[in-house]
Amino acid sequence: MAGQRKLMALVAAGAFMLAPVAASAQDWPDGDIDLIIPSGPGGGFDVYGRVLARAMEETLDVNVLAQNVSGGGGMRGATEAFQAAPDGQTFAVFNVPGIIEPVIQGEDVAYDIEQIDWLGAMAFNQYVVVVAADSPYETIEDLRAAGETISFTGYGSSGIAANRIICAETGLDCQIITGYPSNNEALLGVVRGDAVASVPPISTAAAFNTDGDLRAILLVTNTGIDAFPEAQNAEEAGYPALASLGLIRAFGLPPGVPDDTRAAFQEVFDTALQAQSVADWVAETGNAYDPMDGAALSELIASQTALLTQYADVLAAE
Amino acid sequence: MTASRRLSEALPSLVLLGVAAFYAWVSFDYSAQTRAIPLGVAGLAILLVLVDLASQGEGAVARRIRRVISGSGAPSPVPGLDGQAGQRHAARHELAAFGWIAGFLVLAIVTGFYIAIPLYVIAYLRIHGGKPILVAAATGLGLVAVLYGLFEILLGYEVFGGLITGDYL
Amino acid sequence: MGDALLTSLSALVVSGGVFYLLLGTIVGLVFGIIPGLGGPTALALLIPLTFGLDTTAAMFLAGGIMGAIPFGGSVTAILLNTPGTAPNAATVFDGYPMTLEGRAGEALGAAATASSIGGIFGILILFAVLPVAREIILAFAPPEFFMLAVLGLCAIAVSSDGKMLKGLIAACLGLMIAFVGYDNVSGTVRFAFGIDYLWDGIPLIPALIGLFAIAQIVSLYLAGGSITENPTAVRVNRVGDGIRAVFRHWPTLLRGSGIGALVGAVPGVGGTVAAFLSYSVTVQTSKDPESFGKGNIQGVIAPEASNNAREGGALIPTLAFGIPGSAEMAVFLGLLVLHGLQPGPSLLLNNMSVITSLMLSIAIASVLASVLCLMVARRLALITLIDVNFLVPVILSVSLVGAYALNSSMYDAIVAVIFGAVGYLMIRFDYPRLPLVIAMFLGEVLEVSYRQSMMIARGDWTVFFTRPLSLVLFLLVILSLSVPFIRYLLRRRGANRESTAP
Repeated sequence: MAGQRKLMALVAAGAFMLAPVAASAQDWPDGDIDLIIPSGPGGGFDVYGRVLARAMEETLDVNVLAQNVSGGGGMRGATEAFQAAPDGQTFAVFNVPGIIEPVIQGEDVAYDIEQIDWLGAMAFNQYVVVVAADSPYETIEDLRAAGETISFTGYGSSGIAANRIICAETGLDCQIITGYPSNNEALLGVVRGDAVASVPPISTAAAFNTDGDLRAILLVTNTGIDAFPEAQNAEEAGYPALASLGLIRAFGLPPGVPDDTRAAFQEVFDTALQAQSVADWVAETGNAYDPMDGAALSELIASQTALLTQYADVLAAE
Repeated sequence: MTASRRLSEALPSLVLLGVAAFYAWVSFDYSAQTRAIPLGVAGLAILLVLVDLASQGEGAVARRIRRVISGSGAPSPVPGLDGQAGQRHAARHELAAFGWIAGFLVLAIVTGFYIAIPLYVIAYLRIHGGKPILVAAATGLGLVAVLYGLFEILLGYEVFGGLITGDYL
Repeated sequence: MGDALLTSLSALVVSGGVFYLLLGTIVGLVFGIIPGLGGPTALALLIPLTFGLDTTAAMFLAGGIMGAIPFGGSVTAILLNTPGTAPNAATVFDGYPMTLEGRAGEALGAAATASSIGGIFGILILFAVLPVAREIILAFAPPEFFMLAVLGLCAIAVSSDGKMLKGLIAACLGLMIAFVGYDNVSGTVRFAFGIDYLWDGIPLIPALIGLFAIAQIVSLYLAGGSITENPTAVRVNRVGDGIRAVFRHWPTLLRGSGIGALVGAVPGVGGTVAAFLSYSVTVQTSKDPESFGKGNIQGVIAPEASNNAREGGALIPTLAFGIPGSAEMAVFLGLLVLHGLQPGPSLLLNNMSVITSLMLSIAIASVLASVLCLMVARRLALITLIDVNFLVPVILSVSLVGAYALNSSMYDAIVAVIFGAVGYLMIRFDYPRLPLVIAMFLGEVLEVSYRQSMMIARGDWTVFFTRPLSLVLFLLVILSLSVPFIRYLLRRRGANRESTAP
């Protein structure tokens, strides 16, 4: 044991001596940059991460290598990113609110959200309440007027949490049928009649709905959405607080990156966020795109945390 | 058949019994809905293992159980779908086989694949296989070269570098 | 669709698509052959490389990989008892015994031919079904998924002939393993014992690498020598015999392809289950079930035909609804999205030529991979004469790198080694591995769809029998369970007749 500790100390000392004493911005980037993606290949966080990585490579001489660190609803990736060396060679996509929820539930986590050095976000996927196109319900008021338990198909801890909060806020008596492996399958469940309604992200619902199988009855935003022109938004329906719900495709650095490296990184990140290749990709796929700077992102995360904390008991109940 | 022989024959079943019982016990931590199916499966496993235990040996009960399950009272045939089932080797050799595998795994965790592979391949071929050192070295280095070419050069993918380089498991 | 097909053909021939198709095929073969690396890994690692390509070229590359992987995986399954990819695991049961008898060339020939025809068959099914894909997919709801999972488990359990009890115990063990981790229905984490890694459950691919590849390493280590002890038998080129055998056993071929395309289309069930099901149905319907597991060539044809046909099947839900039919398709979906294509009905309307390019390349790659491999089949078969002292360290190194690569996690490599021990102990104590694997694959579908059905029906369990399709599947479950009994009755009648004959 003592021998092992001595060996570890030696290795640590060696690593310390190899590391540059103070990395200056001229030294950045020092080789390829790692982007930690908190999900498996092919998912939403993966796609956003890789699109940004490609855009960053346009202005950098080095590669931005996407590394999928999936698991624990984004917690494993967040932990690894939080503990990475703060040298500007590693940054990460963070699953928000996936990383907030365990904190609110009082679980032990190995990261501190307040200390993550936010670079900004690519998208804020807000939700929409949908029913099947042939459903008799047109507004959230109709659902409540039905006077019975409304069944929802639900996917993912964040989506189900949003569903619960929406039900609590609008006073609906809800039964959420869980266990669907993706939003698309939850939507398919609504179309084939597993349940009355579902709460998917707006862009997912819009992409699924090219055949007109779905009807939106409440946009959980405070603006209108082109894909669902007739739907009420949260403000019109009288629930403006709900608009802070949503999946945020957030990017951040581990805490403690030296200021000049950080500034250089931020510049490359901001350029990539506005790159033509990103704009083209958004135009082609119709994926949500709401570029946001670090300050706006922090603010959004704070309001989301407040809403989730307010409904902590609703979320904790099984 | 001696008692100790019988015990050693029943050992796998007893281990499975323990595992299933532990699993069932743990499942009581969860809510009724969440534990229902795992608990049911664990219960079924316990039942099946008990029947299997009862069907071993040469007693009248054992024979009758075998007749009901497989349509014949004869002991179940040894070779099966795996084509190689029922082989027996000395426990010492079996442990050595796993020793080499575990050794390689630990080495790879500590030093990363690109160091662990040649070390392991050379050591294995030299010590276990008794091959000439040159042949062993050529095999080990050749293998690493192929893997390095495939991953790092062709695909731009970083393979695990080991705890010593600060990689995460 | 005709126009789109012409566009794809001209892109393939005129605009240099052939190059990408060939590249994809070779990459697919290599990734298929190497144990542990499979379709999901190959596609995931290639995603960044396709950035610079136009969409059609990317489809040729992806199609080449998808078409070539299944056959590549059968090469090591047959020669080394180590499936190159998960769905090839069913091929080892008869492919490897054939190798032991020195019939490796014949087995490779059969696998190659069955793969080619199965691949083309799967794509034809996809073509035929695409117009009605929506209706088919909407007919399957949680009650049907539950019955399908039960059917899969029962079919496998009864096919462990003479070891049904141990087979059922192995299946229970597999289910118990499948329930580890995050419970999708309640959001509870089960049986994780405070280990973060277990939150997402025990990963299937590393477990499979352990159960087959590493268990085989141990077996080889203990056996020593070389895989085939009879060098003269191996040198005889009997690839042609294998090719002819496929046509002689055309019902097996068609059944395998059909099961592959159908079961491959069911999300969450997928290719591995399809291959095993195809194998066990072939065993059960055979007049001579005892000959399986000892080198019956039909035991190679059935799963291999299914393996290539499944690609066509798995594309049905992927293209129609954006719902991946397999892990590989999930990664492929990501690739589509990166290239600015949104899977779903609109894709079929607006980008038909992308789809036809993909289908065309999968079909061509299925054949191309087989032909490429058959050209070197004789040399490949010589692997079985190599001193196992060389095979053991090489297979072990590559398997563990493969286990690591999909998720960049060393824990996956540790899981592979642990399951290697489990796999070896199962061989040692005579428990069949087949039901364990299938149960691990089906556990989640089984439990989730059962609980969803109960939630949808608000606790009314008759939901499984009042829906027509679910009822049909239930009757199939009963039928599959009675197959051994029926066979037993038939055999007894035959025996009686013989004994009463003068």
